[in-house]
Amino acid sequence: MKLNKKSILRAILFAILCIVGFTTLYPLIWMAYTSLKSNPEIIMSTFALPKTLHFENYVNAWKTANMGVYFSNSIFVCVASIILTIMVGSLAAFILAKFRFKGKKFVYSLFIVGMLIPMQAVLVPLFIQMRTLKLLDSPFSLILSYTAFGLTITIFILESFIKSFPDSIIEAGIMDGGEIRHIFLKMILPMSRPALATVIILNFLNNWKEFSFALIFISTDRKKTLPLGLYNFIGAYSSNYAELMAAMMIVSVPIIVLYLILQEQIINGMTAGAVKG
Amino acid sequence: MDIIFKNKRTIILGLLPALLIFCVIVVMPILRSFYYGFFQWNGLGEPIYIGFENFVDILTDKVFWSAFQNNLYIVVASVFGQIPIGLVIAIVLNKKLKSSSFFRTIFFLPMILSTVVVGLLWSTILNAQVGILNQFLKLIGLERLGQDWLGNPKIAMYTISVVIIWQFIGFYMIIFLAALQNIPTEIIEAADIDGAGELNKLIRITIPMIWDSIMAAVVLCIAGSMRTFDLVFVMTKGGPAHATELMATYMYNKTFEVYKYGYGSAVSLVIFVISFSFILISRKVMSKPEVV
Amino acid sequence: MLKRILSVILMGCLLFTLAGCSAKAPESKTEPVTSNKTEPTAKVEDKQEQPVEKVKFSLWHSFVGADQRAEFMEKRMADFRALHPEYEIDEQKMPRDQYQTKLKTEAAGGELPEAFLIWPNAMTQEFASASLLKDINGYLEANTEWRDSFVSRALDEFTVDGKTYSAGLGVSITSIVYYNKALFEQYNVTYPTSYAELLNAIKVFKDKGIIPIALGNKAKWPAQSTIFSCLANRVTGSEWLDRALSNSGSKFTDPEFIDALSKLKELTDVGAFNKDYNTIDEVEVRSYFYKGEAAMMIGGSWILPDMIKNAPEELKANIEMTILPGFERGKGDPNTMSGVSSTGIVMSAKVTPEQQAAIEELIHFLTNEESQIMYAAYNIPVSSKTVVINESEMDPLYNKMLALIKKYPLVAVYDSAMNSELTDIVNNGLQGIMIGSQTPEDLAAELQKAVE
Repeated sequence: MKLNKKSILRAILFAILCIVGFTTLYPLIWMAYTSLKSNPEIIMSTFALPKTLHFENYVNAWKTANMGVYFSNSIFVCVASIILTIMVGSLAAFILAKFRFKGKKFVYSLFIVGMLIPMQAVLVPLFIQMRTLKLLDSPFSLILSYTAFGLTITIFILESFIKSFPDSIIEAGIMDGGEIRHIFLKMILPMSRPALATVIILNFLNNWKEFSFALIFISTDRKKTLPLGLYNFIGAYSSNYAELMAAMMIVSVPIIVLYLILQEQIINGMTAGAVKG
Repeated sequence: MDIIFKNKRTIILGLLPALLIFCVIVVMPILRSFYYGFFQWNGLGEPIYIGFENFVDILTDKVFWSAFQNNLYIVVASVFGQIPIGLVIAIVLNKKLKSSSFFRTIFFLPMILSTVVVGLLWSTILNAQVGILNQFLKLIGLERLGQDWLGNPKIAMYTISVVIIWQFIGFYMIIFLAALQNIPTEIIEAADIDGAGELNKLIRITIPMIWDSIMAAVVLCIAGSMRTFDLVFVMTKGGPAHATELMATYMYNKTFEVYKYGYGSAVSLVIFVISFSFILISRKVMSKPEVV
Repeated sequence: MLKRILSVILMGCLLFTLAGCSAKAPESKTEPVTSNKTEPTAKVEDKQEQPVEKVKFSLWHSFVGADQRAEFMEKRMADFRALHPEYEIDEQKMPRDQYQTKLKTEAAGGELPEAFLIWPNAMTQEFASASLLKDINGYLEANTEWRDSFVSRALDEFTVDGKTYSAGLGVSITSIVYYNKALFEQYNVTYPTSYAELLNAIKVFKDKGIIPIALGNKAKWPAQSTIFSCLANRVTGSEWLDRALSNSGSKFTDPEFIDALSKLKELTDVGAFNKDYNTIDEVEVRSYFYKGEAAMMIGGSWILPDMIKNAPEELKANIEMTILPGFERGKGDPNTMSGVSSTGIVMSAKVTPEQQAAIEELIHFLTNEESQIMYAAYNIPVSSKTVVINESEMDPLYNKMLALIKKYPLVAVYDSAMNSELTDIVNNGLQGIMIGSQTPEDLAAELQKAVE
């Protein structure tokens, strides 16, 4: 009897998942087939399937958004800033989670500050700051800003994750004669794999889509990143939606692939990372 | 052990890189932005120092306070919508099955897609003239329930909140998925042997074990909701007639549209103070998890 | 907890110190303006040492996307580069919103490109009064034939305190009534000649399930720019607005203005607009008209290129263009429409004499007779009164618009006559009146207060 009740519950749950899942999956499907329509078709009917397939949208989009150049720039900036964020952020998170010192709460609160102000409010001061640092029109302006603004969420998620490791594990490591940096590298980081994967996804996503900083800091064409290219389709009086959708499909591929790889890491972390103290 | 966990050198060396980057790139520009809040400045000419005048004006600025109220809707919807839904989905999908891997991917899609696409799509679905939602309601004989979902000032904010919840479920889902990996399987197995029900396990084991992550998620959620900008900017531009205006869109409008840079900066300082107090309150409220 | 409160207080103290300092430290106040002064002077020295070097300048504008202006600009800039190999132009283009953000951010940071696109009236005034622009008065004096070729508003709307900063790249008519002749004939309606007839026509179409007037007001400016500017002028007349804005003799609380606002409210209430007028933009709404689902659409000349390119052929044959009818007892001239100069290129106050010469050359080049003929080729109304357009080569729709321009003089658009703050109030206020969250009297009082 009990089993029966459980399976009904499961079926209901599965149905709800499917409905919600459909609403989240549909936009991607819509984007995919809209990217193959012509502009007049999109204007006349938003949801209809394409009558003929306009694959040339992809070729044109690649050219208009200057993707040949912008793609590698985006990859470089995103990868560099994520490596930096993870290095700097995981270390700080470890210290904040496990060490005891005066002013710890102040430092923790300080990192919250980065999230409390609308990005649009810091554009002008950050522009001035980058000029002072002589970093304008350099990819490092983006790498540094993405790292700095990514630190908040990185430290937050990692700190709360590391905090729940029992102290006894670390203490056992020290008893065995390990130095603190070895414990950090060989024990804490591997154990944090699920949280690290999460943080990498979230930061990559933010940096990959980030538009305002790139707009303000970068002026030279060969240094621009993908989101700037995407806006080449949006005119003041008419927009080229067909090519915009094609370009967005291309831009979405790397994130989706990255997510597919990392989400397995989040779950598999359970067995792989469970180093018993 | 204390000697190691209190080692000043390790603490300083560990925090220094993060603090240095953070202070130079984030804290200093924010302080500078606050500083502009004490000026009358159009963003072009000479700024004039006016002390607290901008802040006094904000106190009586009706549009700002209605924007604040709209932000409150989003905070409430997010904290009590996104977080529980994200948590439940994470718990359900925390299995190494093919189907859960598929669902984990599609629930995250709204985070991946550009806000332009999400906004365009939802505006079309919710459209009062040709929108699919109203047509669907008509089809199942509930035409009365059809609404101008985004154009009616009385309900536009609720509609927006729902879309925001929808968009960010994936965000909290993966945070909680990661947190769940910290629960040793033995504990769950032991509870299963004791014959504990699913709900019982959730309340007695899961939630207390990942409480730190839930608290972190609440902070992220409040901060994120207080400065929501993109989706509203794309979907309604804060309209009709300020009905969906948020503090961040209002600040943007003042700063970049009507040449009141000083006032816009003052608004961002007020946003900062309000968000910070909310976070302090939330941490105070949540600091003692109820372990029943 | 205590420490957290302490940290907040600490932050607060820091702020107050900062605010306190600023009163005593004038050098930090003027920083956005002075901090950049070293750079241009360095450039001047550069030029003097190496006179053979190319004249370099950057040009920012917002002509991108599928707009025909983007095509115009691309082609014309290529011509200009070919003609002047001695100039090296770093051209940056981005969409309008992003352009405004980048330009204003860098202006606030004390940096501006040498040449950039600016909107007439309010924006030009803000930049000019902050002494960020260099005028072209000398160049206009030296080229009187070019100067005199312009329709007056192409220069006037870029003129602040007697100094002209640019010339408009064409003109924008904002309140053309596009209507579907086939629908009018099908339902036996003639184009209205008075407000009462307009209301009647709306009723007929509404009853038949046709959208009487297609409107996309999500961005808030369309109702003001395309409908209300002309509608209010019909009711109040042109002089009234000038007097109200200069606070001399007329007030926004005058009954005629409230009457104009009430008329917009009445149009909304009788169902003149599509239900989703608040949530779709000015581009999306065109599909209702193109699909033959709307009888009328009130919009600007900027719709024309898109209409010629994207509207179905069978519909295009039925499109007529005209103006709003006159109003009973209205004080305004019924034979006018609203219009404004298009954007223009200006130069930064910090340009070197060499750069100035090059940019003036560019402003001239983009508005000379050859360019004006190209505006027409891209279906943009010209800003010249001397250029001759060969109508036989033009699209019939463009010729219909030309006929309107010849027949009806232009009156001011509200957002071109007002500063940005008043515009913001009017745009939001009109939306408020249309959805009933604000009364005409409230908006009138709010405007009057802001003017005073």
